[in-house]
Amino acid sequence: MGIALKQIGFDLVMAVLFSGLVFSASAQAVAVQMWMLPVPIAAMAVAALSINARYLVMGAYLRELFHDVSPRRMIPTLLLLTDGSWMMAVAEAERGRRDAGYLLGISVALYLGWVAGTALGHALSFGMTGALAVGASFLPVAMVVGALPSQWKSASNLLSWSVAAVVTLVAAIFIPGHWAMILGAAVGIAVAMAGADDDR
Amino acid sequence: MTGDWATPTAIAVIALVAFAMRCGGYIVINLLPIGQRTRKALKLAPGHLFTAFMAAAVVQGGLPYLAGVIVTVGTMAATSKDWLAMLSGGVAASAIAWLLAA
Repeated sequence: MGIALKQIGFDLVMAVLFSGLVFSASAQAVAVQMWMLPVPIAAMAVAALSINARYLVMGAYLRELFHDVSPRRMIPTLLLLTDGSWMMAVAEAERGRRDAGYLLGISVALYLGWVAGTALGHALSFGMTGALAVGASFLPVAMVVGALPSQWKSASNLLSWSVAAVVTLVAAIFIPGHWAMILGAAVGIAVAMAGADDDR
Repeated sequence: MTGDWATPTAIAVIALVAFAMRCGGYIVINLLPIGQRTRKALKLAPGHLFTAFMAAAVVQGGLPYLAGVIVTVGTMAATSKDWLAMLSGGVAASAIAWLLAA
């Protein structure tokens, strides 16, 4: 993330602030890819909301899982919640080791690694040009694209994902790319909802 | 870029949205139970947004990005190693950009 942020002009402080405050690889990667002047803040907020909406379900699950832990202790823990820490804490609970402290510990470790990695990437990267710059600018895209296989649930994803991609491609002819992306995703979700009877 | 107001504002807005989503489900579950359809839509959102994002990125980056996307997805599906998938995708995008420029 540090390399990508340097490519779009972030200084070290702003890069660390971005990773430290947002702490969401996918939301940050999409924001970096959408970055332009003037900054499309509204579209970025909608994208971040859509990407992180899964935390609503994860948070609701944690409320039930840790019903005996006070919100005063749980809410600060949720500040650092990630897919990885959620999955590991839930897996531990399923093995009979339900522990909110474990969730916090894993989250803190992942958080420190993410922020330190951003700082390191920013500090060590150099000004890139030509084909190298293309590869570096592709890294945020790769972060998001690499998460795609984990979202694949069944063959029915193929239709709605294809609809999302085609609508985005067509819409990008008429409206800015970041809004085309949100429109494409919305239509794809609508198609999936209309056709899906299975519980995914 | 970092001297203007837009960058810190964007960071603050994205951070607030991310935090609201992280705490939202935990806080509102007792006040406003999430229905099955909403739960399903929430689960479907990331995959579709990622796909749409990928399409928009390919429009912007052309053939190098298309090659990068194919290699990233293929490597991730084959190895489940995200660092290797990212690296391979970046190398593929660079290689195609270099070939096109040659």
